Amino acid sequence: MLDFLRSEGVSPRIIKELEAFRTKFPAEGALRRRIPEPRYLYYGKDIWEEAATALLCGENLLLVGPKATGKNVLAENLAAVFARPSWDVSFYINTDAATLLGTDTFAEGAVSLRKGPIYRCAEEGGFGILDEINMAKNESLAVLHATLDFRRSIDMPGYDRITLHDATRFIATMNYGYAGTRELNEALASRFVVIDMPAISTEGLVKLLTREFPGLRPAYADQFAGLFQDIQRKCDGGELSTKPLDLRGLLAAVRLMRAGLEGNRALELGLVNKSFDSFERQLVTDVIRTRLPDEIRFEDVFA
Amino acid sequence: MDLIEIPDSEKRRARNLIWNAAGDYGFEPDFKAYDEDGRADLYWNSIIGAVRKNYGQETVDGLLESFQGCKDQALYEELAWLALENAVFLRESPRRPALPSLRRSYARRVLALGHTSDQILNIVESAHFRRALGEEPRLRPGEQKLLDALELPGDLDGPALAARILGALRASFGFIPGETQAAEAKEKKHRFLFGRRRKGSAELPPVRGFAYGFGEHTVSGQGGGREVVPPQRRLTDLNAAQSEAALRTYVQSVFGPPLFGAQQLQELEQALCADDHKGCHLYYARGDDTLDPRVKGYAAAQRKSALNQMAHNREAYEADAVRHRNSILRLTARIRNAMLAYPQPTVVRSASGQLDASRVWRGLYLDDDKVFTRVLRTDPGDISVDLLLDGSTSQTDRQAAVAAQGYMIAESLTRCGIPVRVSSFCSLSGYTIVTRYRDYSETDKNDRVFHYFTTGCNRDGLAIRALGQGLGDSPCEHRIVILLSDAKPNDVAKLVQGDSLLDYAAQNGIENTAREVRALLRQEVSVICVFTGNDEDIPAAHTIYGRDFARIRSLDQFADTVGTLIQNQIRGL
Repeated sequence: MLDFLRSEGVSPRIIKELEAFRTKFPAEGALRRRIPEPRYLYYGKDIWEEAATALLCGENLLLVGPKATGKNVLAENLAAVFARPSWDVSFYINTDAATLLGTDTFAEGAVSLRKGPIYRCAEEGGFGILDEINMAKNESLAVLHATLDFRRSIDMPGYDRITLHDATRFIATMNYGYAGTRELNEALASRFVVIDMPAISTEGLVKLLTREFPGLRPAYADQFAGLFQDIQRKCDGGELSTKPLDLRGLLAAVRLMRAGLEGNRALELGLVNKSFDSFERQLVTDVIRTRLPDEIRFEDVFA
Repeated sequence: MDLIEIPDSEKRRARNLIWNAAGDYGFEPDFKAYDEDGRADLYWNSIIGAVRKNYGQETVDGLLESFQGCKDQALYEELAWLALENAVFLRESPRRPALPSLRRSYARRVLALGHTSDQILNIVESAHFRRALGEEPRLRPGEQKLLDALELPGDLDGPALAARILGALRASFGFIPGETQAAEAKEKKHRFLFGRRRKGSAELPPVRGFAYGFGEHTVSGQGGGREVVPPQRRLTDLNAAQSEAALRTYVQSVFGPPLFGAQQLQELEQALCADDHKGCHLYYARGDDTLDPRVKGYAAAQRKSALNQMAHNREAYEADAVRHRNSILRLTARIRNAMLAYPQPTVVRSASGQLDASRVWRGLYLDDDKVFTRVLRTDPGDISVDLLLDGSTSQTDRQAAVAAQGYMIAESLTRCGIPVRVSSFCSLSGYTIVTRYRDYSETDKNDRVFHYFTTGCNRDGLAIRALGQGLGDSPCEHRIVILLSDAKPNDVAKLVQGDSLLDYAAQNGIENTAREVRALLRQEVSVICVFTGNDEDIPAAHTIYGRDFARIRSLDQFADTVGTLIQNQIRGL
């Protein structure tokens, strides 16, 4: 991973600090299994430098951005670069203290604590990835305040008070204005440093595609990146919802093409059908049909 | 070729194809292309967008304007587009691999139609698309020369391209912009003087034949301006001694075809125009934008004025379309959010959570680990929204804004899957006219809200009563009524209180409206008012709607305010 950061042009000083962090906090034993091995890499030197520096300084990170900006990819990449075990917590409307910290359970005839992901992060010095943090109600997240600020502790009513491991960091992601999300309150937001994630550039998208699919012909990497930008512009213009703006879907479609499915059918599965509104589907089909040929065969796309 | 009606969805599709090819969503295309069935043409619209991107809109505008008014305008337009198509195709096809195959399939479709005619346009077009398929057509020398001159290379810039096209037309037809039109006008005058009158070259219709389908031209000058309409007057000023039948005919002429048959309308009048509203009449309009050619005189002028307003509403919306579309997306997200975010709590047994002491014995003796309770949230139940717009003259100076905001609200609710009914109301000579633009299930008719126009007074009480009567059609458990009003009821027909007749205005009107609102509340309908009135009418709004009103100072806030109100209502369910 550090080699990748070097190839992205990240400052050598930051890389040196990262190495020092990894030496100071080596992951041991079973925890090693929790260090992510990223499938996708995040491209963007500036964001890498900002994020790594913030975490090195002991801050928690909030990654804010619309769909397909690589928030989760970056969060996972960061845990890998710091070589720390990570715990993923997907937030939802009913996320509460019990989901995060732990809950009472009944084992061997007695009530005991089943530790939640935040509790385990705190104990083991892990990276907690708080996905879509603004899906949960602010009031239920108030239990995290002491964990996320200078106190760095968790006080479980009825159990013990624990102090966070020095290597523990939290990386939250949020998509402002996404359906089901809410405004993050000031108290919570002030406990993070915030990175506004830029939309993926055509260049980054081409890199991503060619790394994921080494046999992909450059012309088609450009076309798929262009297609994604066409859809992005349509979303920005207010003509489409963000449902078809689906990077995972695009990658899945290319994967299906590699497996032998005809290209337009693969794109239908990966992008078009993501929207359940027939008119939107029509618009996305039009975008595809005016960019790519009627029939996209394996040998056209892959060398 | 018969002209056909292009559905709105295809118009929007055509627009999207053009925007996509142009890489710009901030303009309203002047020209869109459709195939022979009226469906947006993939190939041509992509070409139109690409022409704008590569050569600039001014190139196309300049060219098309130079043909304006001459008798072969349609021919020159189509030949010019053929030349633009050739040039932009050569330029764009390396960037868009779809273009060659789209062009070939278009060419095959064109040739399969087998139009054989000796008209020059037809010959040149067929020959051009034969070449696109790699064939070499047989042409006479003049035709060959024209085709060669029009098939321009891709490396020219806009002005050079326009000059070459005009050069080709001059060489083959002697067309010189301005001079040709002037010469034709002179000749026409000469013919007229010597008695050889013939049907002049009528103005071209906005949707006309283009290539082998249709083109829709939406340049300025259409949809308004030509019909001079007298200023609006109140019907009551016209003639007090009008017969009942004449009045009804007049109302129908101005507001368009009725929503209900005579029998049903009579039953509704009997049920609703009672007690306070005795002697009043109702008319339900469908909110169409049709013009009945049999209507003449003052009624026709009023109807035309209304139709002009409808066209203006739409134009005003389109003029700021990007902002409006984004408002719709925002409002949709807010409402959807509210629906997701405030589900109802349900307590369930579970293996973890809060210990339920009364069930602990089950853990010990029955090995049942579900001795805890957990709170689950479930759906709040379905809701429908009724939007009632004040259509009286008090809203006259903001008609386009009301229509745009009404449309955005309806569209957002539709996208959230919330049934919505949009109506407006006004009163004329004892008739309260309710125009129903869109019903709960008419998810594809939101744009009929643009048919909103204002006239006359407002008998709020009767309109609310009529709306309440129609709420029975709502398919939902919870019903929300949102009114856009200035809380200033006023009508010429009197208020009946026992034996006495009172003016339907000021305090009488307010009290009557408040009674009707309370009747709705008793049916467990939520009624909220978006108040557009002045400071002095705030007490009236309080009397009628209690605390359930939100004041907006500018109509731009309407949709946003409705979003907040709906959010609050969902929260309170």
